Amino acid sequence: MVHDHTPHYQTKYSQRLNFYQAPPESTVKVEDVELWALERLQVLKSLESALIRFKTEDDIRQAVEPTLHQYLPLASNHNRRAPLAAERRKDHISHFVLRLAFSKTAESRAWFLRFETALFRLRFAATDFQERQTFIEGLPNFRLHLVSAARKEALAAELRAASSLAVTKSFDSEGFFEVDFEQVADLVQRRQVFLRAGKAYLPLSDQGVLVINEFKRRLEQGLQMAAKALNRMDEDDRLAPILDNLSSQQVSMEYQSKSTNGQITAADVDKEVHHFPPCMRHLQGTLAEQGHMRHSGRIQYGLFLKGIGVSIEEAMVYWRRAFRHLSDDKFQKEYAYNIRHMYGLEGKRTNYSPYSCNKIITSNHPGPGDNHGCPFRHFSKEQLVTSLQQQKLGEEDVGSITELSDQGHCQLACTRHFEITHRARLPTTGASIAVERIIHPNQYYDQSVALVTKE
Amino acid sequence: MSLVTAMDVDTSIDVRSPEYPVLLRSFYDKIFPFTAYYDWLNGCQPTPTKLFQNREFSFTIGNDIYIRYQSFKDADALKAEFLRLCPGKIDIGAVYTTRPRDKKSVLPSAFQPTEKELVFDIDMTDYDEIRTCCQGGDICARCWKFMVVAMKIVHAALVEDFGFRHIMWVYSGRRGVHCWVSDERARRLTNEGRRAVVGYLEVIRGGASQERKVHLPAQLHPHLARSFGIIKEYFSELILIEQDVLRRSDGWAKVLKLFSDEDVRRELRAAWAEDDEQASLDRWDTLDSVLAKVANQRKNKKSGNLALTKRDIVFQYTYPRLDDKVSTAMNHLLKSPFCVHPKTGRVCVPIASDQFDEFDPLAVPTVHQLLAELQANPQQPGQTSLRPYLKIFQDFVAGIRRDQRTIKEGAQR
Ligand code: SF4
Ligand SMILES: [Zn+2]
Repeated sequence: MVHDHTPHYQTKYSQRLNFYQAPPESTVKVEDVELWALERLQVLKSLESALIRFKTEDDIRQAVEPTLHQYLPLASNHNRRAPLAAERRKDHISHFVLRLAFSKTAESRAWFLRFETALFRLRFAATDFQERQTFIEGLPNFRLHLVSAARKEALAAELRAASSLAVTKSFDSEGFFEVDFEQVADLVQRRQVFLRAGKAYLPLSDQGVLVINEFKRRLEQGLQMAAKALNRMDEDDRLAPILDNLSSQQVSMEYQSKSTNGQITAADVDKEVHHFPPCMRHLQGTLAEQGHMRHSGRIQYGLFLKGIGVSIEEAMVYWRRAFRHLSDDKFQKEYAYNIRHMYGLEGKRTNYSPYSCNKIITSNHPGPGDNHGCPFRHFSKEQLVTSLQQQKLGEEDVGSITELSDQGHCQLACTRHFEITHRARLPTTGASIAVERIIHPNQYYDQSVALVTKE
Repeated sequence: MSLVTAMDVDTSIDVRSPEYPVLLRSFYDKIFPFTAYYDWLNGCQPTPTKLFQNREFSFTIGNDIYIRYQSFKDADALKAEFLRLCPGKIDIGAVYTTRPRDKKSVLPSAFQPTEKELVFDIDMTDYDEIRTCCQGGDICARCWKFMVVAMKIVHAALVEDFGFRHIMWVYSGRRGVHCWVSDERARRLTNEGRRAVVGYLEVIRGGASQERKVHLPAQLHPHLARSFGIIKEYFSELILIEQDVLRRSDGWAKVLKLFSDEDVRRELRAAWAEDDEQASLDRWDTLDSVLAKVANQRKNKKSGNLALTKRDIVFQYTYPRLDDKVSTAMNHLLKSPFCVHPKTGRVCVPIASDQFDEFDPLAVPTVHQLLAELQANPQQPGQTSLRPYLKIFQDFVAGIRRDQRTIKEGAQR
């Protein structure tokens, strides 16, 4: 896959791994293109759900393996029997089609970037040393700056302290290289690398991180270019309907809340609490208790309320009453704007949608004094147990929930919570109860309401 | 219980009084350091560059009018607008691809942030769950030490680990500090790069429902080892003696929750509950002996964890608490240095990085005081009690200028 500086097309596939620097020379049937892209999308989606559920690389790999094997097998050069060229060509083409389809909005670009990088990481880890080395050496514009023995000696104590156990053990034989800290931002963020004067020092055995980051960086640029190309594309290009169809697949990944505006009044909100998922119960409870709530909590809770059908007028009344320590004047000045903003009446006038579990769990972690977030992720075990007990859950039920949350399965724990709190209303089929997995607080709410109205 | 006067009491200003804008106008006219301010934001270039011209300023006028996306062609235009509007608050945003004033007339894609100083915001309200002397917007000399520790730790990391040279700390005028890192490399950091720096510095993690907010590995990363050294200098005095966090039962109960070990909890609760009121220093000694006792019973099994928990508690009570949202988005606004805080009237002055311990927030001049001084001595506007702070700012800007020259000479050679 070594190409010269300004490659036009990539047509040869001597390596299993691919940086997708150049588009494929395509003489493929349109139907195949669409099918392949959809299959790749399956892989990325299964990767997404594995990343939510599992923590270790091994677990993630195992979870994705069947899908990967079915849709996008990619054998190594050692494998004499696999149709190497065909597999790699499919990998290449499906990547480029999806890249184009997902380049449309900033959101879909971010999604694609995240999971393509995860896929590359998975494959890189599964590639043996020799093949990796050949691949890295063949990468254009990619060179490592090695640290001299004297420099390594001088920094030895700090290098050891910042290294993993494995590296500390083989420290004497380990070579180190030096890069700008920006190039290994993820390692810096996790404090897994030694820094001195703006340089990061990594053991050679960690060079994979750098390769993966480089993959990500170049793909990010590639997506920007794809977005421009998409703008210029002919309306009646044969690819256009396919791309539209593909990019619409991304939207369907988000839950659309059922309620429409204006059915729930400010006075009703507190009566609806028994339908709320734990995160929103907690916010509602804190607000009632303290008469105040910090910004991130207001957004998470406010958008949820909007999702269950609280109109902007009612929201104003609700929040005004809830912030009971404030004068009208102060409320108008400091909070009203914020609430109107959530309803798209101020600022950029975006019609914000309620946050999904995924967003609540993985972004904007609560800091000291914050109450937003997901109880299954952001509560200490003790707090979680206490709050479940306050909801009158029995010991056994509490145990079955925390067992899931302890393993990091927040949404499964929440689904279990739903089952337990709605047991009486759910149709039972033997011992197991069938409930849709909770992926969105508003879905929890809608499901709960639906059960009651069914009666 | 606070013996120290909270700072709001005698200095509060009525920002809505008709005199206030008049006051501000003379402040901007005679005292605000426009020359150095402009040089700083223009990267010390001889003529106005995009760095200055495409920079977003935003103003708060009176009490509730908020104007965003202002920009200026040069220092004179900036000053003229300050005098015309008399903004009660000035915020500085990012440098954009086009002039922020023209935002409405260009496509959103042509209006993107390109750079901004790397900034940090440390606010005392994030310490409310640990400090016992004040709450909310109030500060006193005792809790100010949290800021001192925070500045020392963050500053050391920015200089030694990240290699930044142009760092300015600014008193926020009331209850916290801001930090502006103006190195070109810092300004050019992507949001991802900013998140990396913040993550690197961040140790306290978790919201109000997560008691134990610190979980560090046995082997401390060099940054943490250095920080621990700084923390240890302050912990006894700040946390145990002055804040006296373990004296009352609501205080020690919080610490108790940080131990997951049942034996430790039981023993410790029994020992601490014996006395209704006991000095924290003594309670801390009890903690040491309880830990030693339990560790002894266990022999070597898992007793190392107890020592680690204790170390993490020391971190949780002393390590800086950063507001990460301010730092991680390039287009986030931050209050400008040399603003006047509307509640206290104090000027947001720079803090010298070699005098973190000496800085006294309660001694920072107010706008009233400065104008009175000026009235008494109108010939010498440079001689007010703001002078030492102006000097810190000028030195900071001079540092940027020096670097600028070296780069140029390097290029010419
Ligand atoms: S899993 Fe989702 S709905 Fe349930 S508590 Fe967490 S964030 Fe809320
Ligand atoms: Zn205080």
